[in-house]
Amino acid sequence: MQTEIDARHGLTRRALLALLGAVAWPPAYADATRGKTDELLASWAEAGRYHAGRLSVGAEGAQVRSRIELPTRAHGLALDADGSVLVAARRPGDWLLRWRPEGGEPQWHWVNDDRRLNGHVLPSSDGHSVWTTETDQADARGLIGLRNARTLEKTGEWATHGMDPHEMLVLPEALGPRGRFPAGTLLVANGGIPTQSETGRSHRDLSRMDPSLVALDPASGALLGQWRLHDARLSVRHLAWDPVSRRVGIALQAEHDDEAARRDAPLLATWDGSALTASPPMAGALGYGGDVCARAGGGFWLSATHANALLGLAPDGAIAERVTLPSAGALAAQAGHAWAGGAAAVWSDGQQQAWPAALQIDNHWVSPPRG
Amino acid sequence: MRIRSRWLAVLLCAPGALWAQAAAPYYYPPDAVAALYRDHTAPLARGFATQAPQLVQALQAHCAGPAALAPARAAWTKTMLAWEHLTAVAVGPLIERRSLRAIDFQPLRPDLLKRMLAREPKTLEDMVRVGTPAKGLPAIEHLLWTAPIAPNSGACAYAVLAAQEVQREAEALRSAFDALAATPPEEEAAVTAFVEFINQWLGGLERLRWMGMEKPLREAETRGASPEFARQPSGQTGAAWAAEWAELRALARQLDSGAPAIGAGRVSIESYLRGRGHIVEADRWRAAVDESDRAMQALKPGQPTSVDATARTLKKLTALMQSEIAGKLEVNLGFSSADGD
Repeated sequence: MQTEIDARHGLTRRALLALLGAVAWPPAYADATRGKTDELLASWAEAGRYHAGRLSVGAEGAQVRSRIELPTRAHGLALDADGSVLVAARRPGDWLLRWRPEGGEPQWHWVNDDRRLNGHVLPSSDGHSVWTTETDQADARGLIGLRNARTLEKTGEWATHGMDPHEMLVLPEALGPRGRFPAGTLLVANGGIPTQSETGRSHRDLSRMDPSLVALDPASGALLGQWRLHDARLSVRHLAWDPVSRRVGIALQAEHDDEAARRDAPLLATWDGSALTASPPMAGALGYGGDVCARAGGGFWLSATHANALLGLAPDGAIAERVTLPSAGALAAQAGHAWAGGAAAVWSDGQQQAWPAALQIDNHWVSPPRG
Repeated sequence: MRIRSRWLAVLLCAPGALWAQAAAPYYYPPDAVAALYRDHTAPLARGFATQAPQLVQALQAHCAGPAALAPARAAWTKTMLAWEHLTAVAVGPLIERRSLRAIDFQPLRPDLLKRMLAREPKTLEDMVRVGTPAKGLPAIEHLLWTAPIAPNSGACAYAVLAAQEVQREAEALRSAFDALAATPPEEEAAVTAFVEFINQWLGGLERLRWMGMEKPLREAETRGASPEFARQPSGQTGAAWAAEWAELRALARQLDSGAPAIGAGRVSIESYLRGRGHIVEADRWRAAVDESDRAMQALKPGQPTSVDATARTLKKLTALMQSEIAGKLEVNLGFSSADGD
């Protein structure tokens, strides 16, 4: 069933089924009945320290079930088929972690070559590798790092044909004219923002911005296609698959010099296998799409972080619903359900509940499949 | 309208003993940036440019024979420390020229160095084709301590060329920073430069704390081996950290004698806060800098527990800048902002 595909992480049907069979979550936290306890894997800051861990949200409130302290702030997480969690350091990052929520030694990998991680990690569609988005510090070229799934050591690199590659997504089914992009195709959001190793996260010379969406062959890394929006100041950053409309939703971040242009910029673009199309301008959305995930019935949820809003969007990007959620950020969707994290609040399928204010959830989280 | 040289009347209430700390002019970004270029980066760049030729000369003397490794090592140490002082807060030309990559790429790639030595470059033009991970200060350190060069050897000639590249970069930086000191940016450009200064101050602290101290400790823990810190072959790890911290501290904390008048010295972050009336934050900042200073004074690079404790203390300073101070300085921190992720 299409709706059972993990839209947020874009696993193939086969990979998802394997994952569903393989991941064993403790029954107490994997209650299949809605309204009891939801599990989320997340990273967060608390009292000046950074953590990744397993959270539960339910009638008893939000609780940290297990955690691991991180050396610096994390960004993206991904669930691997064996139930372990891959965590990538925030851009410009220099560590990767494989963490096992059920216990076991954490596996750290330290990046010491002339590359920096861009915050997102993804198990490859064949399960043999782990992919990371990276930047070559010599010339800011975007790369996909191919890593041994067991050791996390680098085994190769693919060009992303742009700068600042951010989130990746594996296309769960063939898309495009005559199935030009088969299931398993790797999509990469090239954020397009120039940076320099000496100045860390600072954006430099935005007039050189060149964001794009690229489709890569998952076996060879060959470029299958590349699309750009008309407005080069809209950075394409986060990706989600909507199985209903059969489109990829792309969360955008506006980098216009002009404040008014930034304030009303569209925060969503969609790709249907043929064209990359920005949604109409979104008045007052304040230019920052933090995360995106599929919305039950078709379309997307998008966190408009600076506007303190969770936006329910139709497949064409029209705003269908606007939920007030302070500092709306992390999103996850699964089997018709969705979760959104904000400051001191968590939203789930239309319900909000308080969240410990001291626990500042990072931009992304993952909802593991239920047992 | 900008009003210069005014003192905050509200601070007249401060107890006498605290007066020197409390009173500060109301600085604008052009004041702080002009002071940074005039009283900080330009003299430090001149210091580096003075040392670098001495390294070349010392290496040339050693390579010509008879062996004089000790003077060459001493010259490298002085040059490296002058460089650490200059780059502790890497702004302006250091960023534009990508100087850190050019002459201080870390970690050194010994295998690449070996391959490049085999090529036997003869001129500075030949050195252009040598990758940065195999030259600069780390490569010279390797050739002076890890695999000491013999006079009249190809490796010795390579070290001289590497040092000449350092000298060339030092001269270019001196020239660029002198020009900035002579004609500091104004208005909008000064605001941009001030934002860069604060971001790079924090970047420098993080380079010291994370890249310098904590990451090597974490890596060593993963490997089950001893940590490998920068400048370890020369035994200068602690001195290099102290040099970096000295400049970070100088730009963070107000002198006990008080805040400088506009145009009369470096404007520390603390002074800037006080001048704008953020007294509570300035006091908290000063206390955190002093706590970090105590940790740095007690630091023993050979003892991982000491390094770990120091890194944890410095992390508090990072957190304070990110959570409170940057906002009061009206600076958006590229190093910590959510934008672009």
